[in-house]
Amino acid sequence: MAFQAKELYQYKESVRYASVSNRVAKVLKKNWQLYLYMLLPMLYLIIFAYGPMFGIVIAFKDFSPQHGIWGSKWVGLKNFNEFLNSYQFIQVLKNTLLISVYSLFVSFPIPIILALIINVIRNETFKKATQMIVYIPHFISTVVLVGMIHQIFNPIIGLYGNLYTRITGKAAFDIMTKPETFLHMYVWSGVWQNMGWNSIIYIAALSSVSNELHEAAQIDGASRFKRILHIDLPSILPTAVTLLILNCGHIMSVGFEKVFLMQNPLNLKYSEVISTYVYKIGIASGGGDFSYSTAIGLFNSVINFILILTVNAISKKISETSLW
Amino acid sequence: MKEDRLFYCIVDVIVCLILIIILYPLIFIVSSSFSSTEAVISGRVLLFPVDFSLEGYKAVFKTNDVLIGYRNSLFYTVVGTFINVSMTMMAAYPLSRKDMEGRNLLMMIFAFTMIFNGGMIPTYMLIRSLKMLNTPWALLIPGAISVYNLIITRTYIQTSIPGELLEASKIDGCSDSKYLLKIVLPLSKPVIAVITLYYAIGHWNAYFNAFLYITNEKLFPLQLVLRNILLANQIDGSMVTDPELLRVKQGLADLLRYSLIVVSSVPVLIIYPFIQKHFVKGVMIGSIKG
Amino acid sequence: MNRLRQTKFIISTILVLSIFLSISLFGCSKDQQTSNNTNEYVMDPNLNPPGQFPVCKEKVTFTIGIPRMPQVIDYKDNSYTKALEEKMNCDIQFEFFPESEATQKVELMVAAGGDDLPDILVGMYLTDKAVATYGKNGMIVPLNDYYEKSSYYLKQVVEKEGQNFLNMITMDDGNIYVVPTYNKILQNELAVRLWIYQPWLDKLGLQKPTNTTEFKNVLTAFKENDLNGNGKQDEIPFIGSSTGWTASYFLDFFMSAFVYADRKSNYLYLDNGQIKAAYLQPEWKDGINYLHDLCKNGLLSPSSFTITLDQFNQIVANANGVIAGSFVHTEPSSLTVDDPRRTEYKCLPPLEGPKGVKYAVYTPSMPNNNFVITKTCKNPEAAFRMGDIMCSEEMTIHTRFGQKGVDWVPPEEGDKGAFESLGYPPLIKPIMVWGQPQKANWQNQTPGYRDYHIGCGLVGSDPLTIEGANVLPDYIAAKPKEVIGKIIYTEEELDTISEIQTAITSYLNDMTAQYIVGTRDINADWENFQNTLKNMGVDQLLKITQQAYNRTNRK
Repeated sequence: MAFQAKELYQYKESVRYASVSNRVAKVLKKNWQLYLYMLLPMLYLIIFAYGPMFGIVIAFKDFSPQHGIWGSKWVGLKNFNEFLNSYQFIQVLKNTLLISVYSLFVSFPIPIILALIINVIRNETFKKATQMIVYIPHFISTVVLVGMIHQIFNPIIGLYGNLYTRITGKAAFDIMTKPETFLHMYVWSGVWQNMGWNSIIYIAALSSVSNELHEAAQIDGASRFKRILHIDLPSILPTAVTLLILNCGHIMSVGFEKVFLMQNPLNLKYSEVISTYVYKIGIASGGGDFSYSTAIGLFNSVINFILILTVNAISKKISETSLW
Repeated sequence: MKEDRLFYCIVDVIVCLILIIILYPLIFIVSSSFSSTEAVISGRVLLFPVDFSLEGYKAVFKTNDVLIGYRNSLFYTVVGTFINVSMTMMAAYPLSRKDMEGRNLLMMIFAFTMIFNGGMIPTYMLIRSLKMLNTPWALLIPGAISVYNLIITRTYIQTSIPGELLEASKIDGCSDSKYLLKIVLPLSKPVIAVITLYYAIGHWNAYFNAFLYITNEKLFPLQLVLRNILLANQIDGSMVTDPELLRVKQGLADLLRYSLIVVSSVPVLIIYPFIQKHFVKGVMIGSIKG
Repeated sequence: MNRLRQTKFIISTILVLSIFLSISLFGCSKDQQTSNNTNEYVMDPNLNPPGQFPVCKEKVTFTIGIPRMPQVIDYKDNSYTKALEEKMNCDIQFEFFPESEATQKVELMVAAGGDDLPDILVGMYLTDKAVATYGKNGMIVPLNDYYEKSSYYLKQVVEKEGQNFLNMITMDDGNIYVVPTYNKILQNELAVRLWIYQPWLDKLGLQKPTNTTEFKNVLTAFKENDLNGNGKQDEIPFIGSSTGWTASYFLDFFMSAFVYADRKSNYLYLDNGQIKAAYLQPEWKDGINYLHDLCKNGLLSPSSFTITLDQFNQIVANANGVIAGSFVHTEPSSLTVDDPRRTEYKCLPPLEGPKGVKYAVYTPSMPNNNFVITKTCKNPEAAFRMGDIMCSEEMTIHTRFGQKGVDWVPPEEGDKGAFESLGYPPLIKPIMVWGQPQKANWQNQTPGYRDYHIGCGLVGSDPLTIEGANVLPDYIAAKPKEVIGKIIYTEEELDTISEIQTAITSYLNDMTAQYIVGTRDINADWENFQNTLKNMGVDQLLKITQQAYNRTNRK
């Protein structure tokens, strides 16, 4: 009896094993070329992206160059606690989120609208010229951009000051002294700089919309505006949704350089973000603390990750498009 | 249609407004680059060049580093972009095939690296162990695939190339490779154009990898040289050790600032018309009918 | 079931590969040995005794890591390099770092183990904390023995400067790790100066103001009369800047008429050996009230807290007529050479406050951490000799002014210097224009010892320099009797106070601007202000600073 049961069990196992390896073989055979193509990219990924990833343990250690990564002392969550309990944590976190979310809200729809508008232009030369001009600001370095902002909005010698005085005859009020303006300046200058650049992908997608659809709609009597709503917009929706998900994954990462250059003593309360705070703590004391900055980076990444998973799941439910 | 005419009018007006807003600062930059440094510093330049002078440009080309940087950046951009686009297409195509087993999993594996990375130190150590420090490879290989661009490409292929084409080609006995080469690639011209542009600009503007891995001045890319000159005293003046030097750096930065911007942006502007050609409507028509 | 297995299979493969990869990369980290100085010092046999040149008997090669300065055309084909190589009998190779991020690059190399550091790091201006940390980690070499037994020029410097000098470059572990740049430049020690537009004073028939009340009256007169004659009330009686050395230090200048205020020492000052905080004193309130009063009456422009140095310069050098009545700056160098205003802006001595307090903001010249020798250097003592040579008067002059006879010459008959009245005759007549592309030196990035007579010894007739020099005696007379100077902290001390200091500095900047501009009232807010500072830990900050100060100066 026992002998039979064992044999039966072994037989079942071998059948299951066989069918798995069969299945794998069948799959590989069917699409072997696809897997071959993936090989080189995967190799790159493993070496250059996943290899260094284990260095993340620095965040949980008291890193000292003498002992290297593995030899340094393990301190668990000490670095994270230090960050979360630091005097300015709440303010800094609030500012970071405020800037990110505001940016996302504003700078997400604008490139789409811009692409749709440009797509409507009938004169081909004008259209091409517009596309090209609109994307140039992207190449202006941050340093120059912030310099220009200061220049233009200067109430004494800037364009803003000159126009204001010319129109009202009075001395212009200094916008930059109002700390709340930091947020708006930061976000809208970003829009100015990047809307053309960000619209490129949408313009590309729009160019693949077949003319037949437009012709058919025209015959049906739809106005140009209606055509935008019903043909153009849906055609770029998958791209838009994908980009939205991706951007949500960067919420915690407000870049350092632009904020730092735009800070001044009057707007510090609103302009200190995580990246500038870490810079001041780290560099201000010299002999930088890599554990601390890695921990904060990890903290940011985890939040970004949770966000991207959430948004992706929502998107899967609502639309057909999702990252995975 | 009458409402259409009104609509087109509104659109034209909006576009003109946008153009003015974008163009003004750009014209300001170009004008400043052709004005004398004096005029720029004293704030006299508002729209058109004041005290026309080429001193900024002359200084740019006299600076040896700038020329070397320019040459290096051209090299990194061309070779690097080629590597980027090939690798990205190699990964995007299989991932776009709905019938590929495990594609969602693989996609997640890629996307994970977009959010989590080991940081500067482990990456530096990796490059060092691979003996890539101070070689052009350090600027060409790390970052070969941008997951962001990968996702864009994959999405494009998925949505813009209908599944029927694949079925039709299978019936005709077409292999995966052939399908890729003869059908997918030609139809993906718009998105290939886009990622070529993205990668090329990425290379052209890159300085961080060079900062991390390169100390041989003959390999410096343009942006690194640029930042060296322009960032003279923008960040943290409290570590002032030599104020005379500071003033001198400021002077050099003032002189070169705008002409450097113009000179380093020119190649990028030249690229765009070539890319634009591929954003052409009606690419799909022939394939469906055929 | 199969899909799950497949998933597990792929994931585990990737995990295994990555683990294997990272272990092979990071697993091999040898415990770095801090160099043990247990063995008695013996001079490197390849070196001649100090004072005898060339230094090395057999030629030695060094790699020097240095931030690349755009003005230097070629570092190798360079008269400074050649002079060094000749005196040393060595060969110098260069590794370049981008200037703005040089310290971060060094950080990175150190963090990765330090094996790819160049032999010598020059021109990085490392912070004390960095030097102390690298020293403890064995990344850089202690130089105590070399200073004592193997130096020639540095020996003379130590003799001249005394124990104070050594105190400033010795870390808390008792080691000296650097060959410093010690430039004693009188003009920079007292660089926070007040300038005023003389023609407007003349027009109004007013004397130069000497105290805060007179100054306010002058500013009021500037505002109410259309002094630039263009029909618009666009004169700005006083303008400051939010960035830029000294232009943004106007707070310090005016506050020092109430209580000594110097941002370089984080607004701490000495009172009979006791470390105190200026912002905890009632006089701070008086100073802020004064500035707020100026601002309220339109005499101090609120834009002083937002504009950058660029725009400040543009306002001072305004092309459409004079609008800046007064400002704080070392000298308004943004005025071009042929601008008549160069002779029209005059420098005022420090103002006296209502209670008779009068201080000039004084930053004593201090050595900074320029030249360190890393653990990868095979000939550390020879490297030290190079630093020693750099501190000779000849090389100190060369690194800034170039080669004698080529880039500068001794003064000729009739040449005048701006500081003669202070007892410094001219010594150097520059030919090479500072800031132009050159092959004469490394753009002043090297260590050196420049005593006052060199910095004040230039032949020159720039009206701004002369004006500054003429008023300098007033500033020297108003120096505070005791200044904090340099403090060497231990690592624990730094860890404790750096976050407190960052928070306090941030808070101070924020509040000060608001009090002066008027969005908050310091009188109503005073208690709250003081309590917040206490909560941030200011008492602990003072205690630790006192402790470190006593220790640094007791040696």
